[in-house]
Amino acid sequence: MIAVSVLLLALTGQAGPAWHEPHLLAAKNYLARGDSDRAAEALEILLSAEAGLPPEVHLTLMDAWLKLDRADKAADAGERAIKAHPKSGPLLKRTGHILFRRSYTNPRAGELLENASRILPQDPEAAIEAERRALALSAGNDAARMQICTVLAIAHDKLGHAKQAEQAFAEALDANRRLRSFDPNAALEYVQFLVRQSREQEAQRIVGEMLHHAPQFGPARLERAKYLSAQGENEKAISEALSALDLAGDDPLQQRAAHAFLARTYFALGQEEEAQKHQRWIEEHQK
Amino acid sequence: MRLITAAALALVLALCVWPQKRTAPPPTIVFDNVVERTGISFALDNCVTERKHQIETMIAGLAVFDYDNDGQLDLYFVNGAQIPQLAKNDPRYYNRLYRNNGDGTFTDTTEQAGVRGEGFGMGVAVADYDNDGWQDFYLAGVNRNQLFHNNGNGAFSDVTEKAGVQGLHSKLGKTWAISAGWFDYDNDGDLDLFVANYVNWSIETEPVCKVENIPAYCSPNSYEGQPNMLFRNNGDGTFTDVSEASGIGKYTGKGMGIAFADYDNDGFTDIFVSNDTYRHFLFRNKGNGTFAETAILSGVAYNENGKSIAGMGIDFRDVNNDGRPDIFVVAMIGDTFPLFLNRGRDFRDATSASGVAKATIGVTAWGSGIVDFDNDGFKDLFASCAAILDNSEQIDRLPAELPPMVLRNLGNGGFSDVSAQAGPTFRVAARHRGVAFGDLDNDGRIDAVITRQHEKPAVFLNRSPAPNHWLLVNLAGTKSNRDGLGARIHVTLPGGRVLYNHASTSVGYSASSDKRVHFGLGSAEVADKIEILWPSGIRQTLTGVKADQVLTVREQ
Repeated sequence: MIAVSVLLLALTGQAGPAWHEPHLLAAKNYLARGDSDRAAEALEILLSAEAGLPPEVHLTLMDAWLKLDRADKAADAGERAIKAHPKSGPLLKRTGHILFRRSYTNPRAGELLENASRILPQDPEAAIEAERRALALSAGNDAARMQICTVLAIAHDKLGHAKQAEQAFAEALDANRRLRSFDPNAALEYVQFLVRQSREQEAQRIVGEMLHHAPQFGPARLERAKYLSAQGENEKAISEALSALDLAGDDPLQQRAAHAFLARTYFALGQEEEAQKHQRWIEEHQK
Repeated sequence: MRLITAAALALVLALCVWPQKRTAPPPTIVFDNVVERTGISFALDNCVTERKHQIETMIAGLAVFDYDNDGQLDLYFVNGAQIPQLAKNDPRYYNRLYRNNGDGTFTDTTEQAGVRGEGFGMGVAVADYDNDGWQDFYLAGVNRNQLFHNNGNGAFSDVTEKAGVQGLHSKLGKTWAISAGWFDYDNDGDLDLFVANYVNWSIETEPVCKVENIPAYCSPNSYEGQPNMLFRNNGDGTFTDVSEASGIGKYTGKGMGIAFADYDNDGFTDIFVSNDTYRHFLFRNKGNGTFAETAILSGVAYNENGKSIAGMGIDFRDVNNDGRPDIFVVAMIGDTFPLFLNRGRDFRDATSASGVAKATIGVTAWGSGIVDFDNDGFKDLFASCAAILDNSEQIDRLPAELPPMVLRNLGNGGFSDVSAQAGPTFRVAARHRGVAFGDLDNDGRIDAVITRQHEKPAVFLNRSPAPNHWLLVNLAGTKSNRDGLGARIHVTLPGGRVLYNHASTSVGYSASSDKRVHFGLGSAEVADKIEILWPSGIRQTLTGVKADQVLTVREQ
């Protein structure tokens, strides 16, 4: 309730093109903490005041509803967003996918995905070209640069261009470091890339940075836990994984990843009762 | 001036190119696809439709085995059927048996053998289930499975009904079986049958799936999974369904690959099942006729990030010569292909640390294997690759056809992708599916046969140049099952190096490989000691065994 009041106060004094950013960041923090209810509430109020806010705000709201298992609300939010941004590829694509998952015969899903494919081609090569163009237009905007470089890096990685992927991830990280609020999700992509490259030490340096900027970011805790376990430091690994579990909120994938790690680590340590507790959670929540 | 510039440029280019040529490492693993010289005309026909029925993309199976006991490995290919009837109403849908003539060619003996099969097939599992010395096989398929008994005279008989292994589930009725495998779970001397079931599917109720208005095969999430089945061999040609009694039937997944090994070294064979977009199963054999599912505790249920992957082909063999069978799973683009290293009672995920993640993040594969292709004493990894969607160019802008992949074991815990150096015919992209392994030309180098949708299979003869030595151990059980499946073999080389492998035909996806157990011996011309631990518990030791031979060992 306090958050909502602060938000309303802020809305009355809105000024400048990026006035919404602190509210978006607050909502993202709620999401990272697993408080999706509060994130959805805050973003709904924000968007009811100004529907023309950037697509990212709408996308975050859709994420919040999805995390609450409310695909219906996410789809509604998507349709409202498309009214405000009819040519946004990511909005068209995300809304199309949500509708498609709800009903694979929904013609509206097909229509949105078709439009998205025109605006946002799916193939990594085309994505790279599109993102490069966007990058050229976004000089000086670190938030955009960070996002675009991350997308570029992921596309390059998919195509097996490890060097180009590395370069783009490094640029994204540089841009991320210049932001007022470090984005741990983008950095996590880089960490997982480095781990796949068998470069755990470098990955851990970035994990350290993530935890410095966003100590409540569960996936970074789990990355740290995996590393510690590989080093044979299982007790410390368990402590990190328990933190990851606490921070997972109601995100079922993060919860499962933490439970799976804890089950196998306790088992490896011979603590079978604890291990089975986590195994049971997975079995009970398995879809 | 222009001439001078051109000459200078040419010189610079030459200087750039020259050192690369000199430093390029020699190829270590080389394959040559010789199918055009074999006389094999089989082409896998999945009756592709506009409607995109799920069964079309899943078909894969083949077997490499010696059905006529002439010492030459023969080939069996599983095929599709007319949709929607699911009937083999045209010869183009027949399964095909090819006899190895021993001269690099094969003869189609399907009709004489009576093994064209029925219905829309999927996988095949080979073993001598009745211990008569002749290899039989079981077919996994859509709504129907079949058991063919080898009569020993070049012909087989369909004994499915008599044996009681139609694969009818007590509650679900007809099932969709993808893979099957033979192993002796109770160490009673005859082989039992495990069947991996996929999802509830019927042509009448199958959903229509489209991506951006383009028809596509549905995600596995569109279907309910099915439990697997276990049939105990009664020793009299019949089987008893022990799925419930054994605990196997309690677990519902979306079964794809099956592999067997005694991972905890307790003398009882355990089962690993890969599932499609669902956690994998590791059934630990408790030795009392029941199994405990321990994949989560053992650390093999998910990938490194705790995610369920689209698990497909698997193999369950020791890759690091520590005497403990490890697990290799192939999957879908973005999943990486997990490599789980056995620590005795649990596993360590070595996918990233070994370099396998880096090599496999961008590919999808169906079949797989852990085989020492260059006979250097370290088993390598193999994956038969292709996208799941046959129209993935349209949908994902990614190729539907991919070349296979071979990752060489560097012997230091790492693997290197050597596919690009594995020969020009190896780099050919196709809709690869199942892969089976065996030494088709008995030269000591293990060959690979891969099914390809809509075309002839690839018959990859292994032409790896290293002059390394080898052994193929052909087991003949007496107290144990006749094939010796489940037997564990340690080979000690001069200098004390120990190699480890075990007997299993269940390798990859829907496929069955040669039962003989292969060892690459490196430069060793003799094995100081070969120790065989049979499923019966008998321990047999041979000493001073010469390399480069097929060694038949009778249990005693």
